[in-house]
Amino acid sequence: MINRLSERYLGEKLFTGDLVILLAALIVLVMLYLQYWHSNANGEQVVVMVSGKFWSNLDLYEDQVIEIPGKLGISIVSISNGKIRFRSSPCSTKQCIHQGWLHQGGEFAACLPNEVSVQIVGPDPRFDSINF
Amino acid sequence: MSKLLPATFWFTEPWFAKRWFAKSWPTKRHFIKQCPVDAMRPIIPRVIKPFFIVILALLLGSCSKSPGAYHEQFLEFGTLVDVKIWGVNEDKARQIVAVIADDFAFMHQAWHAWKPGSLGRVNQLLPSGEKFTVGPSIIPLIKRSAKLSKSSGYRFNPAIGRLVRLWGFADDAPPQGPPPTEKAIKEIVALNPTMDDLILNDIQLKSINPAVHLDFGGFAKGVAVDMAIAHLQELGIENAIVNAGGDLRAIGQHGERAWRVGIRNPRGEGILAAVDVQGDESIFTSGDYERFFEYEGKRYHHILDPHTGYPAQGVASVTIFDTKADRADAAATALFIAGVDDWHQVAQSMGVTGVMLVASDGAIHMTPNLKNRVYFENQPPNQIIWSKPLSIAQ
Repeated sequence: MINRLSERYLGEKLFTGDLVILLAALIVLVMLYLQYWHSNANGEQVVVMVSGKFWSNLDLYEDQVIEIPGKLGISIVSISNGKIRFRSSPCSTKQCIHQGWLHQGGEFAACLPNEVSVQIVGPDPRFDSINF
Repeated sequence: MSKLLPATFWFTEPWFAKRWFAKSWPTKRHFIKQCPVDAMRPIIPRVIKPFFIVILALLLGSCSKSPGAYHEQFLEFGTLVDVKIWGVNEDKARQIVAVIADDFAFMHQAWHAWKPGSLGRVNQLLPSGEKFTVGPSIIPLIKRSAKLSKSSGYRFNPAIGRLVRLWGFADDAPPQGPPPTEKAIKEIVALNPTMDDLILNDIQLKSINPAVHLDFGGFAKGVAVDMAIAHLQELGIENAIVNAGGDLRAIGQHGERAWRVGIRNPRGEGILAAVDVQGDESIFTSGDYERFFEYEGKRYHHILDPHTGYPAQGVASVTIFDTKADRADAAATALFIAGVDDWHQVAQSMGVTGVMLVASDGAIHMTPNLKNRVYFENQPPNQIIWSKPLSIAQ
């Protein structure tokens, strides 16, 4: 009996249920694509804070040089090849510049006198916190 | 017959089910004449739609984020404080961080060694030698730090505020040099101010040594971090990291995994080592790169040996692992001053759980309990010297 049923149904036409299943499959496909292919490697960005407040969000995969106005003056950071570093800062110890290149998620450099900080953030950073 | 049909049959042929439940046995007519779509039409809204809605809801639900990590930074305590909370919705987390920021602001104001405030007032009255009433927030600081100072062999010594001021490390801005004269340094060192010179009677304090001047620079941060964590726990937070200018205490974990902490390289760039933290642990580092000035080609850093009056030599940084942040903070200073030869004995008497010391020559001294926890990044260090294990004192 079941065989006779399937003989009758197969290849006849598209049923509403089929359309629903196809639609669901398409939605899942798009979602998976967005989740795993669309974003860049680690989805990493740089968060710049000035005086403890959010200042800007920078793309870690777009080479650029940015001037950040802080409390004392302008700090310059540069981004290249997925890495970021302080280029110059109007502080006296230049600790921020000595930090060198940051590239792993969670890494962080700050110029405290100028109240400027940069941190690499992403959905699953390499480090949650930095001890120094 | 119904028992013989596979379960899938009832899903793919719901019209059949309907007939069956209606107690009318499907006849040949039902199979041939009733086109499936026509038969299904009345039951699509009732049976199939809810079925797919449930599946779609599950799919969408898995995409929308459950409350993950909430991260906020604020400038307080003369440094950048970074709070990370896991598993709490954003609104609640923001309120909680605001509470913590208020705590830090209060402590910074009350515990500054030279600015007007509770501790500033104590320091003004101490040289008189008379007894006076102390602000309540200062009393636990004095008691706890006196105990820790003693167990560190007076290497951690909050009573040397005058020496810190003489070198210029008491100000927010780092000094420019020149270093103080040897005579001025020797004068303070000879008076030997320690926490034992303080007599605390209930809420009244008196100093028997006029040279005592309290500066909780190497200690207040640890206390503040402990208080912040205690406050978070009171508010029902089980997973968090409070990082005050590089010194941190972590509780719980980050969802399914441990908190990942990076320890910065005291010489050169980037991260020296990674360590996973789970449960409750404080990691504090004292380094010669944190505050310093250069004068005529010589470098002077901020960690002063109270016995000599000069910056301690031979160590680049000391990282302390401990449960309590205040003890970790005091121990980081004390072990830095103790140096390569004496650090193990001081760590033992203070009761910390783990130590990683980077000597000036680049050699790394470590307690063996860190062997399987600390992973060195990039290039392994040229020399690791494993110490004897620290036996649990107390």
